[in-house]
Amino acid sequence: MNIKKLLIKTFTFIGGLYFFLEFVMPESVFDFDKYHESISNAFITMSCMAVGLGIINLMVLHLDRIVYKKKDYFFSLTLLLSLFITLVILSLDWYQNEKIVSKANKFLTLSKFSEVILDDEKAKNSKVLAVNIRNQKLISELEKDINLIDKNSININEAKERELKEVLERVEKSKDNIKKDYHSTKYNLNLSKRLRNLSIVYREYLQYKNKDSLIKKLYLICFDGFFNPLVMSMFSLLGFYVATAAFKAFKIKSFESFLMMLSALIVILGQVPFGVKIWNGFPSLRLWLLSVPSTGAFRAITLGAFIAGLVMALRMWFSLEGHEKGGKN
Amino acid sequence: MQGKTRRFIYLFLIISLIFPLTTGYTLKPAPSSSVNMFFNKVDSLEDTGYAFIALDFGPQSKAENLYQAKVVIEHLMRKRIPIILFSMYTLAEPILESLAFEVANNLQKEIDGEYWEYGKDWINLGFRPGASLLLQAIPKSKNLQKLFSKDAKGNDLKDFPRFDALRTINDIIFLGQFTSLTGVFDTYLQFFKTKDYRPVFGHGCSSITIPESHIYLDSGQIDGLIGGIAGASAYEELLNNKYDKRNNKEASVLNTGVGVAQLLIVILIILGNINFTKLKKYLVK
Repeated sequence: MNIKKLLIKTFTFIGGLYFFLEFVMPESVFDFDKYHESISNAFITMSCMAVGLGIINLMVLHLDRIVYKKKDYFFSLTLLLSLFITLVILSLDWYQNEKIVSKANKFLTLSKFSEVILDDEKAKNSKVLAVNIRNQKLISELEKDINLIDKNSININEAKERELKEVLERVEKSKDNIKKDYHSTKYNLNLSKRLRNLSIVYREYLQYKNKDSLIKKLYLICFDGFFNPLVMSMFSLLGFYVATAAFKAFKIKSFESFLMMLSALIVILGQVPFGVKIWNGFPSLRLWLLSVPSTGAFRAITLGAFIAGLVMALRMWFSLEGHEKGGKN
Repeated sequence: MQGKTRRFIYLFLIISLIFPLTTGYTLKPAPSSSVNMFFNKVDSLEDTGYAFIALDFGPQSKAENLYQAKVVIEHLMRKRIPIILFSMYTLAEPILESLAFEVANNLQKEIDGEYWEYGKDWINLGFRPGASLLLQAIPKSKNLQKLFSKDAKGNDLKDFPRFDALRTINDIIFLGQFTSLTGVFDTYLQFFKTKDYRPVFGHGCSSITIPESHIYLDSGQIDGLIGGIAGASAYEELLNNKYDKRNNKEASVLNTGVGVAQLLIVILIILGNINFTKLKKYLVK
């Protein structure tokens, strides 16, 4: 056995053992809960790597078809182009959102700073700079950040923008109060609360403005314009196939097929608004069918499937499933 | 099947679907005990914790799951229960973003002077990777606020005062899960609980997965079930009965359309069999 295989088998076994013990072992023997969050995060991070692997796999497979102009290479080209365009648009949208959050979070940081100044003053912390120096720094940073907001572009006829203007005015008032006496921390709590509010309102304002940006529009075209209607159309087609199949294939050829059709009709009529108009007993009959015969059958199927799943999990845990039994390496 | 017959079937189906949508014609939905159970459970909730709403669906089952989620979110908002939106399904991201805003806007139009705001009445955790691993971490976590840390927009959860008390699964009083994927639903059933506590669990599924979900209603593992658009319509009817000013029949319009289409299918099955019997007799002759 080569080292690669041994490593994979060992880690699979350790992973399986961890989740098995974590599930069965009582807290009094070993408290897994202390570590479970970190271990789960590690597993989630590892599973995210599958995205990268998927992209590499797609590239290898489809670039080969495109470069050598193999059969149906046009479809591969469409796939990779769609992937690339979506990836670019989504990344730009994400970057834009991050920029918005970081702009708004500057006020949140200053809000926390204002609170810290107050707390240190209350605790008479001698290790930090004097209150007046820290307050001066706070106000100078705040003024810098407020100056970055383009106040002239705020349209007070829009509710969102009017709200920002009002919050800004309140912050300015608190700021002026601190400026009057840098040695006092009387207004720090007030400023902190208002800055926190400003951070939320400013973020909403920026997101509202961002709605008209080119990237947002491209994102909407991509998802609301293409992706959603395409997926929905594909599933809607099923409705039409069902209608033609009902006419063409649903034939009573035996007693069993008669029973099947009868229960299908009862379930349909028990669920649609017209069913109640024909006979008001249909919903109760439908419920009986679902609760008794169908539940019994589905329980048996589900139980069987879960037992099979358990066996499969055991085979994977002990690395019995896979290449050794005839597959390629 | 001859092309002509098929085209006629398609035409009838389109007409039966379009008619209620364009005219707004609605019929009273069929009563459903599982929906009544769901409604009564939500209605009896009190503002003592959070409602965790998992929207694990995308465009493929939006026609059913979206309207189910909409009526339940509306009911929770009316009761002023803070909502945490979440998904394990990537394609649900745009729905998570817009659905609660839409419900809040409708409510604000209906009730003068009352407001529902992001951060106070709901937060959106967005899509979270990790599936069952993440769900296993939720009941074990001693600080859910720290586990989720930020909302979908990158804001610290600590900055939303109403969600400050979110610590353990015991703070979640209601779990509403909407999906057409039974595998995903099973994961919540298995892991979203502790040895001594399970929040009230309501599930919304597509029509096709009703029989599979029904077994868990029967066993008492879920407290209510909304099946397909018919279920959403029945829930909507209950909301309309409870709140006088409410007159939104969005789900009922769709349900009427689907009902007409299903009636057409029943007729087609009968016609197909008459045709088949005639053909059989002819062949025997």
